[in-house]
Amino acid sequence: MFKFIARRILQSIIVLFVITTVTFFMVHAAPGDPFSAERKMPEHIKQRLMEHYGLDKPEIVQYFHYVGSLLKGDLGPSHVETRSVNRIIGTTFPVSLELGSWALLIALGIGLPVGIIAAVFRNTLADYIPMSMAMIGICLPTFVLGPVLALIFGVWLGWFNVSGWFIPADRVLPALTIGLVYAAIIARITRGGMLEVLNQDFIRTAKAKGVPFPRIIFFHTLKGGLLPVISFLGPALAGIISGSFVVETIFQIPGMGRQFVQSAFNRDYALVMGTVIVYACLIIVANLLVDIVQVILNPRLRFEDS
Amino acid sequence: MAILEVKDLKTYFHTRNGTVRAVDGVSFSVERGETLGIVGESGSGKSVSCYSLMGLIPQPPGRIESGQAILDGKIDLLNSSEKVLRKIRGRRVSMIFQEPMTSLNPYLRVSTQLIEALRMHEKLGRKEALSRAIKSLEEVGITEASTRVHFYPHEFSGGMRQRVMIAMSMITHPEILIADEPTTALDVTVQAQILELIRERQKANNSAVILITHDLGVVAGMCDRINVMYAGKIVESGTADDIFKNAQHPYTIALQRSIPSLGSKGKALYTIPGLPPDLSRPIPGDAFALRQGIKSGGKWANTPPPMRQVSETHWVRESDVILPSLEEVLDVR
Repeated sequence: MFKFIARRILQSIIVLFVITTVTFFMVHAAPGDPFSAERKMPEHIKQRLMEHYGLDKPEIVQYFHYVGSLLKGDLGPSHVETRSVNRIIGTTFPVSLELGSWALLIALGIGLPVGIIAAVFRNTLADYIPMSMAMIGICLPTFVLGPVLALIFGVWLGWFNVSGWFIPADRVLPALTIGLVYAAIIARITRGGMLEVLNQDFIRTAKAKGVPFPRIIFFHTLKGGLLPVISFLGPALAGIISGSFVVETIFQIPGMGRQFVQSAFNRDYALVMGTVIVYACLIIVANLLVDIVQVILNPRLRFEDS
Repeated sequence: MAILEVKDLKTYFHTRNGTVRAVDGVSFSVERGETLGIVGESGSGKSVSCYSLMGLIPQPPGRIESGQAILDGKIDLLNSSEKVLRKIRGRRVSMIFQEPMTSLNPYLRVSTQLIEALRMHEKLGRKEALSRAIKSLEEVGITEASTRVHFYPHEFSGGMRQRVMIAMSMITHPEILIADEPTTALDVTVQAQILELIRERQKANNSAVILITHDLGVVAGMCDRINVMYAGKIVESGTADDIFKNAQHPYTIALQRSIPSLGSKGKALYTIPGLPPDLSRPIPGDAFALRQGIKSGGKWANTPPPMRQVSETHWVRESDVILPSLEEVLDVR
């Protein structure tokens, strides 16, 4: 197990290095620069700015300079804002993380039970109704669901603020917007996974042993039935907690998702790099966690590794 | 008194293509310590009749239309509450399945699965149950049982897993063991060992064994009494001697002709012509006579053939199907 984790961490470092390199040169290859705003900037001022940020040097020099400071944990200064990239990510990431955690809680809290119930009572109303709703949930984009929730619960009922990120109640609507969509997907995956296991021969064996029905579901079926959900959660987890541009824009949330997109539009090289690296780290960590959980749940994987 | 008495069991499956009469009025009984064989080809209802006893028929589409299965003269397995039945399943009546590779839960340790029945039915503590589990593994010939009990099923071979299944089903010393084709998925060399093991565990516990199989060779060596099933009905019932030395029903005779050792080497094996009938359509008379390539007098074309007693232990369903003589069959080859 430790060997497995160590090997995966080593792989991750290589992946991270490749991502950093590719992103660096791709961002720099994109047309425009951080200072090409709509309003023309006097040439000598632009020259000074470029010098200040070291953008006048050859790209390969800039690259080694960037990697050098990255190894020290410094993501560099933002070219557009006055804050450093470390500061920007340090203030926006916790917001996205919090929102994502609530959303994840909603997604799992609704998705798992609904999926399990649908599988247990398959081909009855307890299956059809939630699964039809889940289908709608999957098809509904967040930029529709978000405003609709804001309209109903913010404008008409007045229970929550329509947007903003100030009081605890402000978390509810954006978390629901992200959470419900993922809940729909998780419900469907859970149902599929549970059904797959429920049709296996060993469930019949358990019945023949006189195992009570709830124990068959939660003890004999759940472990195998949740495996597909776990593999889905790997990439999804990173996406949920690194923030959603759309939802953060709709609800005016100062999260990382907005920085991600805005930095790319602004050609804010350092900020693009910073957000990409954080996102990549999240994906790597999430996938590693998923792999570990899968090994714990599925003993057959353990054997092959050792 | 019989430990299990099944009367007029009917299990139908209601599907879109009509009602499949998988088991259509089956009656039999088993005594303590006795081995009853149920033989027949695929789809003859032998498995379904035993699944009905264990409550393993998926409902819907399955439905037990009628019948009784009296355990020990007291409890009707077909008409009791789920709560009562759960206390019987896995404790007084247990089951071994055909597929040892998939019949054990791959996500749980063998120990967990072995002690589950003990913890549930006998309310044993973990330690006590575990030592019983180790003992039961030793009894089925698994060495180093105290280490291997903590293995996962995938760490055992197919034959070993079937041994684990037997250990698991016998751990509560059940009065009845239903073995659904326990050797079909195994190597021939392992088959004999597994059968021997079942017989040995049966003797140790004085259990009744219901052995479902399509292998007449297995039945001949194992069973005291034999029921031959065809199209959801029992066509012949008797002791092993009755069935093998004095077979009356043409289907039983045809089955015996299909045993490979009967013909000379190098000749094509005998097969019963045609296919079993489609059970989703009602069969008014003798189902075997409907088989393509089978000649019959037509006496039982529209009336259900009754059972006729041959001797005290031997019953056969009436049939006027005329099989070609054995010489003729051999000549044809």
